[in-house]
Amino acid sequence: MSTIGDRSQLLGEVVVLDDVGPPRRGRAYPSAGTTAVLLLPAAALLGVLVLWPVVRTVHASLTDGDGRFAGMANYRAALGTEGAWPAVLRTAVWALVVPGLVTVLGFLLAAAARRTPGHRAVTLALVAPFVLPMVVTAVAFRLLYDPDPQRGTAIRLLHVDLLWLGPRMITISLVTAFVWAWVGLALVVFRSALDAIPPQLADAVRVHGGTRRDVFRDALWRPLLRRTAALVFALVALATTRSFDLILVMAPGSVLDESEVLAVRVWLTSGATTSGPAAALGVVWLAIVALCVLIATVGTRQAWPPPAPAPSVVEQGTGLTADDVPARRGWRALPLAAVRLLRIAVPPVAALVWAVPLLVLVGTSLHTAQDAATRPWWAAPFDLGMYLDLSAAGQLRRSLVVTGVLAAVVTVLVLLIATLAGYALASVMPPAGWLAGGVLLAAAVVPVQAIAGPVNEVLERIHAAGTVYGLALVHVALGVPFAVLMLRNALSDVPPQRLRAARLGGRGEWAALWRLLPAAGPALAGVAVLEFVQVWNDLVVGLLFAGPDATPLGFLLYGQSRQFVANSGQIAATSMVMSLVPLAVLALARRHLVAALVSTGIRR
Amino acid sequence: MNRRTLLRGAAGTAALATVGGCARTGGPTQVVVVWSGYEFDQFRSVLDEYRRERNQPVDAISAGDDIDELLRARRKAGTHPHVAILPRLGLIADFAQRGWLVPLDRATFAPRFPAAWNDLVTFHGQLFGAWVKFAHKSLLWTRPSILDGGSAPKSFDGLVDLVRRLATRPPRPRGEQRTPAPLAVGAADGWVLTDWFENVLASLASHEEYQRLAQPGANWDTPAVRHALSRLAELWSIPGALPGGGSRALLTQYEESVIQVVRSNRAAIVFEGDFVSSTVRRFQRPGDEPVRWYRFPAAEPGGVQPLVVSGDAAVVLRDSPAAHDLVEWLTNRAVWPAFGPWLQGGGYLTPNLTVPDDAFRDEMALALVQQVRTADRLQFDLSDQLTGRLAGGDGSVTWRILQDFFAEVTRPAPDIAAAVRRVVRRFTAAARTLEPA
Repeated sequence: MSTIGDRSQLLGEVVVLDDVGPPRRGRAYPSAGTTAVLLLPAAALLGVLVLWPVVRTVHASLTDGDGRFAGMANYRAALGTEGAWPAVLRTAVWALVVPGLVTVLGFLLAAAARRTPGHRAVTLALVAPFVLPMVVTAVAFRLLYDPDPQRGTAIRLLHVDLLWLGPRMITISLVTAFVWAWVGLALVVFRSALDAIPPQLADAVRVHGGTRRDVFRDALWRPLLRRTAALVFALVALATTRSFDLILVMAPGSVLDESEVLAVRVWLTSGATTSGPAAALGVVWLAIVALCVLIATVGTRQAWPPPAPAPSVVEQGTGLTADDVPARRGWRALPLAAVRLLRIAVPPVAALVWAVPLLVLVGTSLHTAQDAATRPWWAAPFDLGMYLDLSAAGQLRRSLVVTGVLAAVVTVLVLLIATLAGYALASVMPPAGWLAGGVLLAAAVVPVQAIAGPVNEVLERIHAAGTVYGLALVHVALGVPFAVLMLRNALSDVPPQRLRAARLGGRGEWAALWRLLPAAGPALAGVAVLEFVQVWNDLVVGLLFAGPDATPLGFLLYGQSRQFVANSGQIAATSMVMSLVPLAVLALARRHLVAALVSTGIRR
Repeated sequence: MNRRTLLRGAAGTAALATVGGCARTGGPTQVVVVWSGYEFDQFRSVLDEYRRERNQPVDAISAGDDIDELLRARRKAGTHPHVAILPRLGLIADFAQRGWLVPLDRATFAPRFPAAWNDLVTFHGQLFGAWVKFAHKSLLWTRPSILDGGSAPKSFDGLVDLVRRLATRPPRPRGEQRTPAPLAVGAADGWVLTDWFENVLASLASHEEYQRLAQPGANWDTPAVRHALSRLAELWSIPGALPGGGSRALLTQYEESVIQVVRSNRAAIVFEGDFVSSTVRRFQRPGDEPVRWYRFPAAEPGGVQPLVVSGDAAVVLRDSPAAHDLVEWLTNRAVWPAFGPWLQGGGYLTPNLTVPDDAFRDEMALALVQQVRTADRLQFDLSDQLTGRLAGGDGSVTWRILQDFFAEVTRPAPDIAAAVRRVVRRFTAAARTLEPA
């Protein structure tokens, strides 16, 4: 209610300001010239490192090696090669089935976890996998699914001698790993949605003689959940491009074909250079992603991502749940004791199940290299040797420093560029505002594997190919669109009093922006945390653009995992070290992280 | 003494020439290699010696399997390194054709290596590479007790018989260690299967026939190829030959297959190159019966035992005295002690003729090096020579075809003839496609 009031007030203010004299946009908003200057860094970066590469990819897909128009020849060649159609189909299945699973599981757990004793701990256990690097998830699940009947944790736990990593099961195994990692996001988003629904609504339905189903339909589903479910589904669907990291580390070479999706295929066939058939596959993939986004925006019928909830709203929400006695009484009145028991038991059980892969990872890391490679992790004597070896080896230390500095520098640059652009765009009204939002949204979801070749061409042109600067630049370009969207939304939600105070108090645009920044504080913190974790966790960008002078952690881990079993102790220990930072961020900045996640999800 | 003074002089002119000739001055010499992990660490400690001796900074860069893309990108950007050490002959040939490589001084380098090795890196009469390292890829590894005191099979029939015999051994009484299956195959890594295939083929085909397969558009439907595949199928399809069966072997990577023999006692025999010894060293329990090496048998009784090698050759990409100096140093007999730790650790051999025999304190290393020096028939790793869609690497068609073949023939009651026909057809089709898909 209050937000709507604020908005009408905002409109009022604008009218008042404009009434005073001839329309002077400059007093309320940055002038057109200033807007252009503020937008320049973001526009240049996106234009050169995202938009042009997309155009170049489309161009390459339609021309032959000498630049002559080739019609559909490249598409025919790319899709005619053995295994191309299965890869397309597998990509589509990933984008449709996996989000459905994540959405349903996330909702059920969110609904149940609310009333579980110790729900905070349960939620944390379910959310922790989400902040872990995908490479680490892959390592944990490859250990879990070890095909050796003596060592395979999954085989021992389920008492089924099944080749989880074999050609038949590999996609299912990959999906379980992905769901394990992403249910946390769905859970958090649904939790905040459920918290935001006023409990009086359910009471009202019940007072009018509504059944349980009516309560769900009219008090939960219709007002908020439908849109939330659509949003979660769309986010996860877009995120399935990240199955790339999983496949690369989890799938043994002999089942690569059975697990291949477009991301892997495009990477394997192009080798990060521009070639016709690989570009054609990339375009097919871009089209699938674009379709997903279109469906998502239509399905959620709102600007995506929605504005970050201000902290006050979150507090309000928890305040409501704290004393929502009527709702509790309502649920308790239900006769089905079994359902209630299930409701109480499921979340802790889920949390325990969710802890298994991490347990395998920790267990494996605590042995000598020989024991980790040959004995079951639960039976071998514990030993800290792997960690001592790692701390002695220079490679890991170098990678830690490189990744840390890279993530910090990229985060600062993204914040800087996105704040300027976000401030400029906050005052741009539709339809130009919609257009800008659409372009940013498109740029935020472009899968980087599809445009790697042209991006490398750009980096070569500026002599940054294979250097840590080029790597940082690509990270910044990929991080900016999403950050701009977040900050634009945050800054356009600034109450008009503050806007006016900032403009009156500060001389010039910069001073005004500086004064406004505290108002966008939560959004800035959210963007910073997400960006930092993302660069830290990255494998794809490092794999495609890192030079030999700097090895990011994800890439280091990928290199170690090339001979998986023999190195499993070292791999597990490196994974643990790599996970410490995102877990620490989750522990320290949980609120900001969750707030940012609720309003978004993760790109790439 | 003489040599040192001479070289120091050369290094002096090097610095001058760099100042005069090119914008980059005095910086470290850059060398790009494919090695990573253990091998890269060993190589770096070799370079430490160079740094000390020459007082010339040198940067080693590990490019992994992406060395091809890296060098192309750097070349375009004009930031290519001084020296690269390349394992793939196809790549050296390609770069030499493009004029990206600087010819080496034949008078200095040619006497250091067997003629056959120099021929491999000679294009248009100019020598482009100096061999730093090679791997002997025709070895079987097992414990002598497995052979019951006898010698290793000299022919493939003998190997098949041995595997059959081991596969039908009765299980040991309770309480003792389990009976190992006869054969560990790291089929999850496609290159293990290509090495198997190359060894049998090298024994059956003439040198010309073998080399012809490396040409683009080659016809793979030859009697030698078909025969080699049939022999492999005969071995692999023996029931009980592989621990856990074929589908389990396809999830076993190379190092795990060595572990199955040396540590976990799941299998008795493993095939791969001399570098197996470094994994053996890491995983062998003290007090266990040591694992020994034997030559890969001839494919037919009375035939020749194959000798397949792969190698890494240093090439100069940036024409500077520092680059030439580094390549000279790496292949000079006097610096042999710098490679000592690598040799001790396993996985290092050199075809360098000028390195004296007593430098190889390791018995195995000396024996393998002598085999290569004196061999009259020696084949270079075929998959390192293939180009286009067949070129090696993740998702490579070559690996895939052989893995599919392996899966097919290790199923119960396989149709081997049909599987062989399919492989030959797929190879020929892939070889005709010049461009990478």
